[in-house]
Amino acid sequence: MPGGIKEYILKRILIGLFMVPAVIIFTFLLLKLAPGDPAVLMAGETATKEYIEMIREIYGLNKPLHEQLIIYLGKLFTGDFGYSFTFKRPVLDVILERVPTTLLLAGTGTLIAIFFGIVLGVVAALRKDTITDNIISSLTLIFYSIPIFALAQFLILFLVINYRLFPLSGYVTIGVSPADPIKYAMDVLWHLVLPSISLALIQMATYVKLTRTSMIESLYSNYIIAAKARGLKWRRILFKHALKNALLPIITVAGIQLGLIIGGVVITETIFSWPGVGRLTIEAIEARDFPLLNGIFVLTSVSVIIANIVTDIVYTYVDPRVKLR
Amino acid sequence: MFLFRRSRSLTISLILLSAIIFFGLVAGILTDKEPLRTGYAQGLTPPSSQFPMGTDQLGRDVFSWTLYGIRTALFVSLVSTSLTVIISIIVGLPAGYFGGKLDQLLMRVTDFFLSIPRFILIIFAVIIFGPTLTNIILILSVFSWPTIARIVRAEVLSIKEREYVQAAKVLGAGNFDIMFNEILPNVMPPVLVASALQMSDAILAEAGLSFLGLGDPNMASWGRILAIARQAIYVGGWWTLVFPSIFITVTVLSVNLLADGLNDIFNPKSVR
Amino acid sequence: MEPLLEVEDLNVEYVLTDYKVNAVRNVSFYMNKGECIALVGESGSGKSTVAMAVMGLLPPYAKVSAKKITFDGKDILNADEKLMTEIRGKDVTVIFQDPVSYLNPIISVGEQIFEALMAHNPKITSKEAQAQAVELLRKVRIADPERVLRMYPFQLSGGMAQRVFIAMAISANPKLLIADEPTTALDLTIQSQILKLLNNLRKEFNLSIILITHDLSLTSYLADRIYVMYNGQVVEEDSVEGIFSNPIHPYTKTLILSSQAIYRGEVKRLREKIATIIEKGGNSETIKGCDFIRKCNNCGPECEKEPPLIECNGLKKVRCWRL
Repeated sequence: MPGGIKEYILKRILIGLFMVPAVIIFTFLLLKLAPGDPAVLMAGETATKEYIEMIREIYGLNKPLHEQLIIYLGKLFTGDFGYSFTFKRPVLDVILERVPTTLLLAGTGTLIAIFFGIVLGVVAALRKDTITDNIISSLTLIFYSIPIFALAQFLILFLVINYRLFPLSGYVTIGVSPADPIKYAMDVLWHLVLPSISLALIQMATYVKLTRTSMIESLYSNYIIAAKARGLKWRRILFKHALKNALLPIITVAGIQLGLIIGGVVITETIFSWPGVGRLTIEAIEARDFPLLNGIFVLTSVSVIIANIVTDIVYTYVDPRVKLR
Repeated sequence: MFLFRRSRSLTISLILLSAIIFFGLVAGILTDKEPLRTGYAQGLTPPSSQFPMGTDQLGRDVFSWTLYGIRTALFVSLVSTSLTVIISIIVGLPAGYFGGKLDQLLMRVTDFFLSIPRFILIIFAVIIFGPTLTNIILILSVFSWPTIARIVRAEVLSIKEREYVQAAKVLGAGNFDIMFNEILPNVMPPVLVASALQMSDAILAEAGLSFLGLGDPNMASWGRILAIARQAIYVGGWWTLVFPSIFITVTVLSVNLLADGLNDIFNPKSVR
Repeated sequence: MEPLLEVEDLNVEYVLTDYKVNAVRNVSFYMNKGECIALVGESGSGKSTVAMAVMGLLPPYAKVSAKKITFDGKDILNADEKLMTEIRGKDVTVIFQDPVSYLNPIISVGEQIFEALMAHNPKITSKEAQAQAVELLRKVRIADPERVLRMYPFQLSGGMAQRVFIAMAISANPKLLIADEPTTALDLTIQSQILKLLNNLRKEFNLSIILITHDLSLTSYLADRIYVMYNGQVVEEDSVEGIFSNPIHPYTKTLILSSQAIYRGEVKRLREKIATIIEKGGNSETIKGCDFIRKCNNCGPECEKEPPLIECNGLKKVRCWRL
């Protein structure tokens, strides 16, 4: 039996690893389609002639396509993602520096969305077809339809401008430093509230709907009737039996969501000037810094692929029907 | 109303959509001001009888912008979604029907597109090819078809084995005949539901691009005025945020309700 | 001796947004301690509904009313949920058709048995629970109980799953076991094994059983008395011998013929014989009078009015005017 899982995991990782070079090659080709001189694209419009020529040399831009690809892949392999001419530093460094902040934002937002999504979904399922259910379903539909840049700005309008409850932008107030860890952490948290709530509200609808449907299916299953017939207390039936089964699909969906909220992260970071990879993307766009953009794209894609693999593996462990195939 | 009993969502969405489309069509009649023209007023002005939704910092009329924005949103989403559906059918129908190498290829491609972050890819592509209306529509179509194609394929697989298809085969109908006359009509219902969702996605995607400055500068897009609102709300210009937000939310909402409603009609037994 | 379970004039109505269905009408029955009664009828006759109504396990849109329902002297018609939860699993238990689907698919068999044990014996330690679970599985003739405890429901065969279910059902030494089509989803060979098991348990623990089935032949093995149900009503009730040797109601006769014929492979002759008793007719909706008006050859003018259950000799009662 255990051999079965290990094989499956291995297979899954291999497929994922195959995706990674596919993505890289895809970006490579996409870049090649861009109009204009690729060397200029990579060096930046304000670069000197010598610099442009140097770039041409390093990346072999005069050579045939497949040779360029090999050079490119080779560089990526050694961690050389190119050089950002806006930041005057290696692309990889620039990106990695901002990853923790993005993870903080995205992670918090997702956790809030999942937690409240499940709670509201369960409540809606238990009170199916009552006013509570209708209110929850309607509200989630509305939040699902609002674009995040509108929602975030409404939050700002009310909570920052009108009532001055939260800070507008950034990650930490000027003057507060990590030297005082508690004060620093509190300050960061204070800054984290609005952006993470914005992210959470947009995603929540998916989780509420999913939990509700899943829970209703679960509650009307045969094994719930049987559990009741055995004289188990309703509370126990609810949590141990109905909920546990209902939550399984959420794992899979959460994995898929990770890929879908990237757009939301980019926009939220922009609106709140949160110094993460999303905001970096916008800065790179404005400067037309192709090496940086390319690096961001490759790294984000790889992260999403890895996240999906992990989700799949976790699901395999949690559902005995899959584990013991 | 019979329709109302069959599906609340569908009725509401159709009412809303008709209203929105109506306003979009008569935009030219309701206002004489051009949406993107600056200088109608000296900077930010609040709503008044002359400017029902106020103006932005450069004196552009928000009312006009919001109304013409309907056209942008609906045009981009409708065209790109239609293209997506066409491509999906062209690819998905044979893939599901004939199976084999074509099918394998399709599955790999859709897997690939599902694992990469779509929004960044779209941004990337828009930068590379330039932010024009045509490009945006094409890019949105190209990056959306894998999901729908997958649905088409799945439906084809299940319909392929049904009796009326077998019957047609026995009667000597050719493959293409079968695909288009028997299978396609039955594939459409779930595809339509997915397309409606795709449409609302497209509206949000286009708005997102415009918000980030990557939209076609000649189009009155809601995303763009919402980007302007970022500065405006600090100095009290709430109208630049509120009105376009209401319009885009209601539009996306009605398309989502349309999807729900279509689902109600095609799958009456599903858990609600 | 007071009966263990007494149900008088039970009615169950399903009330949905568009329409109402009368699933059970004026059903009365009783059972004594140690007895086994059978509720026999085709699907839609209301037999399962009766049992579920007594247990309080029907969905919220089911309206239950009766003159009285008492179990072991206690009134359970008007009992609150707290009392019902105590009774369920401990005094009255249920086993179902297709047992695998009635077990939680993502929790191991052992855990589910432990849970049942702990529900009625909160102070039990895990060691004791393990020992008791193994003992229970042995009682239902499962070989290698330790291994089965570690398995998940989807890994069990139908017969095994039903045994596990029975094990859970008897874990708290109940007074009454309700078996709702316990063998319908199982192979014929397994069927007889399960029935034998139920019979043994009955003798060993003086267990009272309500057997619900559409197959009359199963009842001859286990049951003492039979209630034949059609379209929500009892149409004939009698001892097992009385039903088989002297069936009076037309429906009872067709049931006997079908069960005989299937075993003897005489389906063709069966069809002819049934035709002499019942004309072919459509299904009744809300027709006035006896349900069998359109289907019975023996009807007369009085059948326009719905017949009540009329006592014959001994235990027999029949819902027919023409006796």
